[in-house]
Amino acid sequence: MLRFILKTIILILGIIALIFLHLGVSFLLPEPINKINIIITFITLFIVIRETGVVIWISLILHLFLELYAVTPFGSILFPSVIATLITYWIHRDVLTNRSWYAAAALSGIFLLIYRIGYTLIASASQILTTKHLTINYTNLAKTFLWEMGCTIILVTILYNILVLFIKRLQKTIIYS
Amino acid sequence: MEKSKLRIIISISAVIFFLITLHYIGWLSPIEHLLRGIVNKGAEPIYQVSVLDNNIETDTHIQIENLTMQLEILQEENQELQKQLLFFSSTPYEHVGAQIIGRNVDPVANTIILNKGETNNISIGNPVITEEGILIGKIAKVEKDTSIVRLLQDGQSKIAATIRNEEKTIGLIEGGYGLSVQMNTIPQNQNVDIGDTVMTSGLEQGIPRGLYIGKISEVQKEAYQPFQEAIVIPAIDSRTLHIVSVITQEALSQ
Repeated sequence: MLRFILKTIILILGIIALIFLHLGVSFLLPEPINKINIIITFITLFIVIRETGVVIWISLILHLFLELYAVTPFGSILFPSVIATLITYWIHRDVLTNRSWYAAAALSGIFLLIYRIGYTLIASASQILTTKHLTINYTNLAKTFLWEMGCTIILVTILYNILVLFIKRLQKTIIYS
Repeated sequence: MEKSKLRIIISISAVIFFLITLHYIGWLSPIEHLLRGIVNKGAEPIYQVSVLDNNIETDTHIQIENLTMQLEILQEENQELQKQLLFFSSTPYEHVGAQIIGRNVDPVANTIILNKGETNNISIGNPVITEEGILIGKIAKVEKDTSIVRLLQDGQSKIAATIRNEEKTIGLIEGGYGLSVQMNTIPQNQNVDIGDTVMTSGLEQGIPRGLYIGKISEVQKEAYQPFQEAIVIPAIDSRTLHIVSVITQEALSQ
């Protein structure tokens, strides 16, 4: 019981720390590096390292924080991000099953692709329903998404290669033994 | 798709829709208020550091003591307030002063977070200015005690503008071009020069005429295109701001 309470407290503190790290990256880094999505980086690495379904609920809580400050209708970030987390988790479990930096990079790219397609569809649909016309500049949105994807994939790759030095289950000597 | 996977997707979707429903009926607001309070507490100091970092002109390593940093922040806030007061002393607009407590949390958006909201008569669409009437964006979302400003540089930002030239050219200022913005739908037969001043045209509901936006740095004119385009450099870098003013809707309708 105590262990569960301690784990929950650590999880809550970890989530808050991650949110502040995400804010720090967003506020402090120059354009376009501030497009890095720290939350998706963390979720991807969590999927590859821990391989547990609890990542879905962690993703829900993290994106709920982001939802509070989004200018799009409530749910435009939450729904696609959680579904993207679920699909990415299944892809890692059934398709990209190897623990390698390129699998982690591919998973983060797939996550962002599913997430941002869902986000764009929901944002477009809500605009059509509320204002009856579409004023979203898709070209600019696509450019921003590509920058976000590129920067996040690079960060995931770098962090994965650093984590390999410290986490035994990611090391090739353990995997091949 | 396996039945179990479909069942999982349906159950997760149901949870999310339940949360969305709770939000729209207002039952989630105590939790949202708590979460926002936690985030705002952390966001404000990080934002203050980021503004200071953007104001440092030398690239040598500088050790900033806590008191010196706070003094510099206070001095900058004082200067901003004085300039805004000067602007409002000569205009009929009613306004609400607000402190910036954060920037965009979603990498896609280009927004800032203010510490004033519905309780201060702020509503969606209100223009947000700084210094001597320089427009930086519009209110995009309002909560009880906070609001979010969509900056001019945001990819979804659109502002009706005019150029201070002979023809009083009108066009649309759009963001999504990094730190600069683009003025689109400029008729081909209008003369637009580098250095021309761009300001709000007053043709958009809720945004008065004459709020300064920036200067034209480049003109793109192709004979086969129906309209010209101009790159506009905004007058102020929003990353260096502490305090802004929101022109409230009530004053504009008078």
